[in-house]
Amino acid sequence: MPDALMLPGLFGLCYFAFAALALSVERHWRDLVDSRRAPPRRTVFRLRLAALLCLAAALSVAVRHDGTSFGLLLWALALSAGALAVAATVTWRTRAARG
Amino acid sequence: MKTAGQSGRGEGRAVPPRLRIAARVTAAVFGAYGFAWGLAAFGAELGALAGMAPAEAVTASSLLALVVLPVASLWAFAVPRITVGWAVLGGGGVLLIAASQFAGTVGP
Amino acid sequence: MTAKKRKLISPALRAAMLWPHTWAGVTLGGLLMLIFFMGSLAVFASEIDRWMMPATRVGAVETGPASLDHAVLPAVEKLAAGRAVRDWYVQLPDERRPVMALQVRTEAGNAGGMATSDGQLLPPVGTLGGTYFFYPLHYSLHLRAGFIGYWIVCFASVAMLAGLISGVVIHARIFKDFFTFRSWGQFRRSLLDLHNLTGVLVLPFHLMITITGIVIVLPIVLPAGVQALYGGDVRRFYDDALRNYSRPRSGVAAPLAPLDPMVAEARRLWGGGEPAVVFVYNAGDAASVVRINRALRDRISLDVQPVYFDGVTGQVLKYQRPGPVVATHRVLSGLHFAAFDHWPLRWLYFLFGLSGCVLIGTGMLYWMEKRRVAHGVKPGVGWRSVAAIACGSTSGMLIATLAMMAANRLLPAGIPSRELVEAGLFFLIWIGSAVHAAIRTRTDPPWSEQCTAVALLAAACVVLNWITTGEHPIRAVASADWAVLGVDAVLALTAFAAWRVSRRLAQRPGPDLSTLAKVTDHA
Repeated sequence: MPDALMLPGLFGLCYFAFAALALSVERHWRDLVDSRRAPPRRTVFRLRLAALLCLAAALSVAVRHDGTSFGLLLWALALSAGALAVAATVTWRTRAARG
Repeated sequence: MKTAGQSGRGEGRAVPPRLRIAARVTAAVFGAYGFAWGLAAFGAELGALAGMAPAEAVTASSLLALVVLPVASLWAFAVPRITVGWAVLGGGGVLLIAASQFAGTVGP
Repeated sequence: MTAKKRKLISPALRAAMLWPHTWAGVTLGGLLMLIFFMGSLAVFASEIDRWMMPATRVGAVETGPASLDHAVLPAVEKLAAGRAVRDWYVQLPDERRPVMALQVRTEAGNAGGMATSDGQLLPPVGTLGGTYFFYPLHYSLHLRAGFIGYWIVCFASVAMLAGLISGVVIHARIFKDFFTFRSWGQFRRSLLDLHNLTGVLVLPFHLMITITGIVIVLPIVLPAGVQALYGGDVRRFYDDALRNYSRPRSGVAAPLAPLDPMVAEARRLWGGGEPAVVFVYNAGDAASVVRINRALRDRISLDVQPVYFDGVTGQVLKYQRPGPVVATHRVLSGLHFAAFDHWPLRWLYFLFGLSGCVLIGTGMLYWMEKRRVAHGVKPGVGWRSVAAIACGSTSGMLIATLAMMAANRLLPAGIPSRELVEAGLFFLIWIGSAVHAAIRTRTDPPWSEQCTAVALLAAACVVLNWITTGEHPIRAVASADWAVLGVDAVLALTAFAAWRVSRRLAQRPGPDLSTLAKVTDHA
């Protein structure tokens, strides 16, 4: 995988994973998707499964590109970066949705 | 200043809150460190007895003691009776140090 | 809604953890802020060095790898200035530090200097820079006597670990509130949200960085094992653990064998890799020893794989790998040091280190806002002291750092002990900022004023770099001087952010105590 694509790919996968997890949390679902109901259980399951798959893929990308030790370290830190980015997005969109 | 360290045991002992806080804090700082010290010393002796190279044994036991240290400090605040806390941390530390001295004389 | 939830953490435990978490944070928050901030700067210590030592901005290593025999030895002779040399060492140039750093110990004392990779000595740099000021401030507070600085920093670090663990225990809804940051509404609630966010989302990093930091100096701050098995002889322990070698002088003079073949042999023993540091002990003696350390750019472990050569014959005296536990210790230490050449990782370390500062800072601010209700409209001395310390250890510390960097550009090159003047200015201005905070704290510390100072100083640093070295950001890009560009960019960002914060704070109305008491922080 070309060098230039690895990092955006890694962070992108982490971002999507945590975005899916965020939407599976009832409060954020109500704020951002559908304010009338809690997310249906099947949706929650699918979102969390998608998150797991994205995180696994991200780990694979990191280890394939940087080796086991650096890959693992980079993945572990990319998780936090992705989660922070998603939290910022949720705050921004929730503020906008509240008007 | 409300301190959450006490679990409200009003067992008829009028220990002033300052003293209770001091007991908890000293246990968390000195008691926990003494316990970690004992752990590191005894662990090193055990490792040497088990055949580890001394530098290896020292490193392993010190790392283990370091992981235990913050947990022991917090436990000093979580344990319902601070006398128990001091007994385990302080007493345990002394016991471990004594055991390490003993192991040191017994070993090769 | 929570009727059927099994309680993993009992309310009693949660309550018990609250007091130590709060008071460790309030008493040690300022110190921890310093440690985390200087640690974050230390990630880019080499880059800050390029900025503060313009003479070392020689770009990529142009003249190829430095020859020890043809470039380094003459430089050592020049530094010795005719006196008999006892020992010396050289840190060879690399990508981040394109000059070599030499330290020569003669009978008359120490002499140090930097030289380009072809052996040209540079004039004295006149500054301690990031590597010898900010970095040691981080791990020892520059208190060297009896390792007291290490003890203080490690005490605070253990408290940080306790704070992290207790914080997780206290946090009532760690998964439900995982992504929650309510930046609207009550300020106090926003503070708590941000505190929880930076604490939980970056928890793996905070735990790792704190514990590995203590691990590095563990034999010094927890010497029980060394006491037990080595009778307290820490040096012998380190020699054992790291496979060091040493021998005393023989008193018989003998010439030094060529060093470049020794480097080649070391490379062969390592199975590849670059030399990073070369030491010569007992120089000029028949019992001289040459030690070559391997560069750490391509690995996490801090194991430098030292190879020891006989200085006269060039034979390998000792090359031994450490045991598995010590090797693990080297990896743990390496996780903290981040000496590897992996730019995304280094930037993440830098940003997460700063997130640690946000974690600590929001904690202190939250305490201040919460206690403000209890203390009434005009807070008493206790609250004002904590508030002033919080201000002095955040914006005050930033002001001191930036003022030192500005002084680095402004102070004339020739003044004696220039580096000590710079360092002295750092501490003086820091004290001044703290005094300013103390005096001006009535209902609030002077955040807006100090943020304005931060913004002006940061902008001034960028401008001063331009004026005094002629290197503005566009020229830095043109000459691929990423180090200076990076530092200038962070300075500019700091100026912008501080200015925005300062304007926002100046417009904010004072705290309204009547509504503060009503807020439920965990709603």
